[in-house]
Amino acid sequence: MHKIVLNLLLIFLAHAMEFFFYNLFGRSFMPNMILLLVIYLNLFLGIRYSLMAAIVGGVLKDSFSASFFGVNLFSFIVCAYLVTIVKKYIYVKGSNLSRIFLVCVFCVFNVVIQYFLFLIFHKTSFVETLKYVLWPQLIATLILAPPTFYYLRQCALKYFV
Amino acid sequence: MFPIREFKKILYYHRTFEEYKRLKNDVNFLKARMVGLEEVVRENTQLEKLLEFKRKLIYSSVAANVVGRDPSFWNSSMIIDKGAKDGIKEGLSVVNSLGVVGKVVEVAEDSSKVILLTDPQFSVAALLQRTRETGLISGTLQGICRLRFVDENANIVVGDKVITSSLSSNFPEHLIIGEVVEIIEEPNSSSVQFLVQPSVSLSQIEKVLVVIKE
Repeated sequence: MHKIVLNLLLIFLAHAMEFFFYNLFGRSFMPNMILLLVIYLNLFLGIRYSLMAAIVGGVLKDSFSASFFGVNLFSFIVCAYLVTIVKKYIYVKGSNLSRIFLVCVFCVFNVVIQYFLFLIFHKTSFVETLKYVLWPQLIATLILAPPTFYYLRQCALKYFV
Repeated sequence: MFPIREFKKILYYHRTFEEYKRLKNDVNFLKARMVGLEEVVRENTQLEKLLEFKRKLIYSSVAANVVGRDPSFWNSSMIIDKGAKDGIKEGLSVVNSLGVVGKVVEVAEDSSKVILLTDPQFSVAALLQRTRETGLISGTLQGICRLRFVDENANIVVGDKVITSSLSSNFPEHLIIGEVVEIIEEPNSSSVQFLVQPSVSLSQIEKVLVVIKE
């Protein structure tokens, strides 16, 4: 039970951090903290916690969003499942580089899934998506990935194990 | 006299030091209070401008505060502190003294979600103030607006002001939207894109008016 509560706290914290960075830096630096949490939880604690983070984090993000409800929820759930498959091919335990590469791959997956979802409902420019959504999100998320994983690891070792 | 004054300084050193500490605390308290008062003056100026603009509007309106924003690359939206119980409905236009801000898309009892004019889902009928050409302003993912469906032969230059057109059913007419900042000619087609910078600084909005246009 306490692991579930801690997981929920981490999800809320990740969501709050996104607002924190947005208030501080605006659109120029907006990392996807919930995606980082989903990836980390899958790598170190398994798919159950990752899926929980994906569902709760997705619902939180969608409730603040003015676009269609379910976009973030769906993309995070798909990413949570895909991490389980993709990590077998590219993740090497203990390797920071493979972890960063995994984050890179899933940032792209996340944006691509959301792009196709938006495309169903209204016309969305692919070039603009690459320039103004994928690229800035990728850079910001990759910059924050190492310290985020470091602190999540400290938290996991102390409270989850 | 001189040695007596110096002697007194030494004698009353502790009293002077206590007085110094008390005065320093008073100064710090007054500095903090001044910051608060400056904030009140600023808010007062903003509200005066908003009230003056509200008086000029021929439609009734509800003033609201911005209480939240959505940190997303896909959308530009914000949350205001007025909802259904204040008469807010979906589709109502949101403006301030500097121009068009956006449109209400979701309404709860006490709050509402507003998409800004730079949101890709936003669009409004527009008019070039100088040439009276009509077009459609819509948001883009890059955080700026685009003017579309303008006549190919239209004489539009950088700096032209764009205002709301009377063709728009939700927005009062002749409200300033922004200014043309870039003209992009597509290399492989005859179409031209006009990028419009909103007149309202969307990252700094604190107070808005929701226009109840019936």
